[in-house]
Amino acid sequence: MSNSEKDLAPLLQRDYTEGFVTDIDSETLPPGLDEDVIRTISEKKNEPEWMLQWRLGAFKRWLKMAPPRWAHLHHPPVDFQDISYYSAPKKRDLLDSLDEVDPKLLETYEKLGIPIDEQKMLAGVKVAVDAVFDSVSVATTFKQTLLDAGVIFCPISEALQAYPELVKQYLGSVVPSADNFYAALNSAVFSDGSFVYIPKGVRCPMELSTYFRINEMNTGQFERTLIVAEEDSYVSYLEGCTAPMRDENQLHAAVVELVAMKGAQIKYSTVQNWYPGDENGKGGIYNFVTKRGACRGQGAKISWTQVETGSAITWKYPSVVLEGDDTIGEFYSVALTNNYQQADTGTKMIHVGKNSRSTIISKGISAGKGQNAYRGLVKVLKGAENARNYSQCDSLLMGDQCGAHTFPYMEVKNPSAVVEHEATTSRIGEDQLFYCRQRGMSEEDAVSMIVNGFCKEVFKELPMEFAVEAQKLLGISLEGSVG
Amino acid sequence: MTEITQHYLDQFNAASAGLAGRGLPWLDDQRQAAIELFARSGFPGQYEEDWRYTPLKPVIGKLLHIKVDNDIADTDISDYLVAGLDAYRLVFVDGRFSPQYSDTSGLQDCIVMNSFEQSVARNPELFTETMRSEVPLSNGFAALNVAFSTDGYVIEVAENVKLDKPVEIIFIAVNSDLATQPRNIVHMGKFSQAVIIERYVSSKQTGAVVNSTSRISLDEGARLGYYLVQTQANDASQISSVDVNQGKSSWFGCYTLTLGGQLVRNNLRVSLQAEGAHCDMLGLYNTGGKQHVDNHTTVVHAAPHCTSRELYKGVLDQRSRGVFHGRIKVEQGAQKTDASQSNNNLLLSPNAEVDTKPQLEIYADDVKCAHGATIGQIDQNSLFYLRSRGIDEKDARALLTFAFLNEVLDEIELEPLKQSMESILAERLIADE
Repeated sequence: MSNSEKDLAPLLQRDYTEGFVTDIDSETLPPGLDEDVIRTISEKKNEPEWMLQWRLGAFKRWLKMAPPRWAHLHHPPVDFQDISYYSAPKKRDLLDSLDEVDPKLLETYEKLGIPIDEQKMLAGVKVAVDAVFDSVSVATTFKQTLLDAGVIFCPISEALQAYPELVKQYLGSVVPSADNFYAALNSAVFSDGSFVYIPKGVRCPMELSTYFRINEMNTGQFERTLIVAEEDSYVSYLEGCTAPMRDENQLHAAVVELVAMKGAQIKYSTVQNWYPGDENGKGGIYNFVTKRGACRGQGAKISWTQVETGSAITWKYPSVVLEGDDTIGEFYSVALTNNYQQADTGTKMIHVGKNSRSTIISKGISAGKGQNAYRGLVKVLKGAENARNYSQCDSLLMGDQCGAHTFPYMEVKNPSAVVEHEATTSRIGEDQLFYCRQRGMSEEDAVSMIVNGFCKEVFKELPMEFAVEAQKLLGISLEGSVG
Repeated sequence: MTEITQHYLDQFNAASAGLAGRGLPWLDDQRQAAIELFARSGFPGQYEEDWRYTPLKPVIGKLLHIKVDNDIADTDISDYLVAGLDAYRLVFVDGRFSPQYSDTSGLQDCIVMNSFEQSVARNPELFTETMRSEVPLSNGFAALNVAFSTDGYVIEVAENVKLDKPVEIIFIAVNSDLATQPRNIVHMGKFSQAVIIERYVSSKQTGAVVNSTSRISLDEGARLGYYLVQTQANDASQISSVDVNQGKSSWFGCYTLTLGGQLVRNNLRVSLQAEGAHCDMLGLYNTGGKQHVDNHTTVVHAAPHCTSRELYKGVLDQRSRGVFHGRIKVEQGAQKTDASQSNNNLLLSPNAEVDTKPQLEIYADDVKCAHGATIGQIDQNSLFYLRSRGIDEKDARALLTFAFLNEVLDEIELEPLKQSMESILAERLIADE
């Protein structure tokens, strides 16, 4: 170990600037989970009867399930009776305009740098935002502009009122209500999330974005996102998340479903920056998320891009089921673990249709005592003639206390398929550093540059503004951690 | 506890008095610990991550017929010999050591080579501390083997001794529906050198099941070439567990060549425990019919400055299935590790299947680890190239498939063994079409 590591160690300790708490009156259900809680949530949202039955069905299945234990993660068992399943800022009736949003909430999002005031949008960069605060959506921007284009973008609770048929048709069609332990829990208690519907042939005029914020103590956030892209449509969707700094672990168990019809394209990007816990591993969010997309028609394309820098524990495998012929699935990921963070993340590509193609690029960075695992499945079914997959998983290790693991699974039942997997593990080379230092760069700049180079293949998939933010996020997290 | 587990416990209680080496405290303890572990864990099932691709029911069913039989069947072993291979030979027929077929004449005194049963009965002092030490039992099969094992081979090579000829051990299954549990122990003294060929064969249609364990330890500077050659008939099954501990600057070369068997599962675990150890793990499998070959390998880098290299190649035809699991584990402090792992598969038939899981688990930062896996078919351009030069499609395919496997074959240093493998493969590939 070089001396420089010691000198630069303090730089590794970055502050979590999003860790403040908003002091706002909220209505929170007492901790605990039973059928009554589910009935209450459903009632509060004024949901149709079928929705309640769906939730209760999921709950019954959940009771019989056990949390998954196969991941390369270690944490004390979560007490699901100790969590409050609903928390919402107290507010008046449905909001017609942003003027009616609680100024404290506006302030919160302003502090986070999230533009929910349409006027303040940067000229030329138009992003429609749905802001989810604890269990409910507090504001959605550019709704009208989008509606004019035929695009529906609203909280899912609102969609249940306004477009119940659409929701009923697609909800649970990609991730069944009892798909896995956390998905079943989410299906039973989800409170809000975004609903997006892009009609046939429409190219969504702006980026859509949801910003998730956990504020209340002892609550879990269970959001559900559903995106449906009809034939030949296109949408790019971004997701961001933060939470206050607390000593206790909070649970975030979301479900995201994507449906892409013939020729449709969905691009889903995530910059996940939940509170990761302090340098001693205390606190932080448990991020147990089920994300799955289905390419239903010929030529459909789904692309997942994720930058995972936050959360104490990440358990997340955005997947694509390539049902149609000539469909494309992509997965680009950067996962960073520092201090005591643990991540077990990757993807699943299920090839069903002929000529389906998938690409997996995963970059894992471990520093401090972080444990970072890539876990992925590429499955080629019998009928998937000429299926093609390429996977590349690289890990970068910084320090001798961290771990990097790779667990790829490949199951091929068709001889015309070509499946390749490559993985390497390394640290930043002394010669690379020397080269940069020799040309007058400081050590931290050099590291930052090398790490950004390492992640470049993923960053270039992110929309512009997100790419800049992701680079900054990574930069602060890793300065000086030279092994 | 399931009915099956209970069955074995009863059998153990009934048979334990007659098992080889009864009364040796270290062996009794091992057997007791093994059966207790088995009582707790039972057989692994497909719900377990390490066994998910391999249906074990047929094997478990057959294992029920463990026979303790002292008659050695007459057989013509010339059918099972490798042409031109000059080696010391130990032959086991249906799991029992068979002196009349074995040939250890001219063996140096400093090398002990005998059957497990005879050794524990006649000169138990032979078992050194290392050989007696607790066996890590990774699964129910290995536990069952240790509990019930009657015979197997024991090789101890003294310090600084280099064997002049390779050692060939042949396990022949002759009688039908017999389950055998050979237990093998090898200890290589400091700076010793040897080559061991462990072969499993069977006469046609015996439905035999072999549940074997081989425990190998290498002291400082020792070098061992170890060939596991499985060419039994297509209705025989084998579960093998090979466990290797490597000392400082030792070399272990492992060649797993699987061409036969209905269901073959090879567990190979190599632990690099001191600086400078190196291991090469090579594997080759070529299957057809309804064969199922599962190679499960683990390399543990427990000390710094060790290197390992792994290459497994498989060709799967008809309704056969190939499974590969490779894990490289680099423990904390095992800096300067250099490990590579690669698994390549060729699928020749629409009904064949490959499931592969190459894994890295790394807890040290100054390491170089890489792994890769591919599943594909014969390259159309190469095929076209050959055909355009007048080679018919069948021959061209056979040629390309052979070339694919040749990367592993080329590494076999024993010329007669290599040739015998080549001729089996050539015959198969031409007949395949």
